[in-house]
Order: sequence, then C-alpha cells, then structure tokens
Amino acid sequence: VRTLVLGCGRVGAGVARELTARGCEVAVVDRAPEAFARLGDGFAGRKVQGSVLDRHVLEAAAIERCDALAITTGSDAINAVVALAARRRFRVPTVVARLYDPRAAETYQRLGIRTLAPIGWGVQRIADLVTATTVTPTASLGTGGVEIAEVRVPALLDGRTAAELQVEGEIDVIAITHHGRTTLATAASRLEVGDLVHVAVGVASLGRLETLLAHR
Amino acid sequence: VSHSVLVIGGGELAATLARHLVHDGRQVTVVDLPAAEGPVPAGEVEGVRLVVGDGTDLGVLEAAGIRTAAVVAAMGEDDPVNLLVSALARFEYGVDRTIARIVDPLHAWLFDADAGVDVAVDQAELLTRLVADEISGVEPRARP
Repeated sequence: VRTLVLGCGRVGAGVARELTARGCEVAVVDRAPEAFARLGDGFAGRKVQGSVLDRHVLEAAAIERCDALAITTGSDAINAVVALAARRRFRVPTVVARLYDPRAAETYQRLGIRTLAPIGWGVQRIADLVTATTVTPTASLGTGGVEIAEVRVPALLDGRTAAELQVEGEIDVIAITHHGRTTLATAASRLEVGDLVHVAVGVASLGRLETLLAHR
Repeated sequence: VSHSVLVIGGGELAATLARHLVHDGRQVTVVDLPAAEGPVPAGEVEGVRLVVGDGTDLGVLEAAGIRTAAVVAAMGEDDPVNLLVSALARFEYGVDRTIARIVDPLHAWLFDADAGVDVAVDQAELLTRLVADEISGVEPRARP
C-alpha cells in the first residue's frame, strides 16, 4: 500500500512510523525540515520538505499514485481543503483528515471527508483507517467511532452465510446488494461472489474485517 | 430573485467591496471574527449587516443567511479559509455564484471547480498584469 502522510507533527510522525511498521510504503510531507526528526533515525520512508498547499510538493510526494492519504497538520481549514483536493483532483481512494475543533466535524462530513475527532483517536486508529484497503468505508456514524463500509464478497466466501462475517460488538452485516438489488441481511443470508455486503464496523475492527475477508 | 451577497472576511478590501455593492443596491452581509483592534472595517460600512463569527462554521453561515444568498464572496486573509467557505457555499448550500480571493499565488491551483470556486481573484496576478501592461505601453526614451 502506498501511503502519504501530510504534516509531520506528533500525530503525523506517529502515523508514518506505524504505517512503515505495517509494511506500507510511506512518504511524509512537512514544511519544517526539523519536523522530520520526529520520525526517528531508522525511518525508511520518503521525506518531502515543502508546503502541503503547494501542488509541486504534493506531486513530488507522488500524490497521484498513492492509495491512501492522511492529513494531520495543525490547521483544520488546511486539512479540509487539501483533503478535498486529494479526493477530487488527485482521486486518492482513501483520505483521512485530522480534526482539532470537534465543532468542525460536521463541516468536514458535509464535504465527504472522513475525520478523526481529536480525543481518543490514536495513531493506531488513523493507521487502521489508512490501511483498510479492501474495505471501502462509505460513511461515519456519530463522532466517527463506527464506519459503514462496503465489502465485495471474495471467491473464498462464496456460498457462505452473513453470520461468518459477523463479530458481536465489532462487525455487523446490515444489507447485501445482489445483482443490483439491496435487501436487509439476516445471519442466514447467503453470500455470492461479487455481491456487495454493507457492514457496520467499529474503527478498531477494520483490520479484523480485512483479515476475515482475506484468510478464509 | 435574491440580490443578497454574503462577504466572508471583513478587512479593508471587503469594506471597499461592500461599499460598492451597497451603492449598487445589493443587500450585503459581512462575516468576520472580531478584529484584534477596533471595529471590523467592512462592518462599519453603512447599510451592511455584520455577523461576528467564524466563516467556516455552519451555524454562523446560516445565521448570516447563506441559504438565501445569491453570491458568496470569500475575501479573507487566509487562503484555506477562503477555499473552505467556497466549498461549503457550493456543495452544502448550492449557492449560485462563488468568488474567492487568492492571497498567495502559490495556492492558486486549489481555487477551481473542485473546491467550489467559480471565480478566483488573484490580487498579485492582477496587479502585476496592470503594472506590466502600463510598462509595456511606454515608448523607449530617445537617447541624446
């Protein structure tokens, strides 16, 4: 997974290190060269110095080719604006923005940007969101602890039931889209390869959902 | 048809614009945070309604009448804020026309339809062009 972390403050540096540890390819952008010291000596990712509002800097960091992006600068307005450009202009599939002012959460959500409330959202969770690649979150519930996500049924799960994807308190199968028709799911609903499964999943369990899909 | 214009940012530039718009018979509302010193310049313009608050806050924008505004002009000193205001005006409130001021030309690339901006006004670019035009019209001085 190719990831881009914009802003190398405490959170940005932590996310970058965590993503590297998870085997992602990471590029980090910050305006201040001294900010990269937070990454530590052994950091294997790329460091790109410059403003996140400068197109040439974003292009030097290969924003056009990244699979996921996290923006963690100290300004909510910058985070929102760059997240919007990343989604719309550069077509980055997964964009996660850090949020300082919880009152701004609604503003972000209206613009379709997935946000992290400042309290209780650690580096681990941002990394979870960034690396959740086979699962496409479509909406966040409430303050962002629960995601509604879409999952394409892989061949390995063909003919199984929805119950096999359910994990009490972590993953709940809500509906299934089969040949263009969406219906509410029950535990006994049968999955067919290519179906779209709509699930509610706790952010901390996104990794678990991925594992369920990949290793059956 | 609504003739109201919502101006976000209340500095000297916004004040000049507001004065012009009021003179043209427009209904003008200005949104800005309290100034560090003294009043918000655009709020002092006769006929202008001033709403004090953060122009990226949905509650403040709604109190200022964004739902019925025909035009939103983001004239603040901060490019990301001007962009965010334009994006909200277009994508959240469906405002017909959005105009945004570019403070730093390095950020000009962000001011496009993807950010909900119809017209971007790059001050530095405009001034440069005017001055350059003036200079290019000057005939070389005859040398003695």
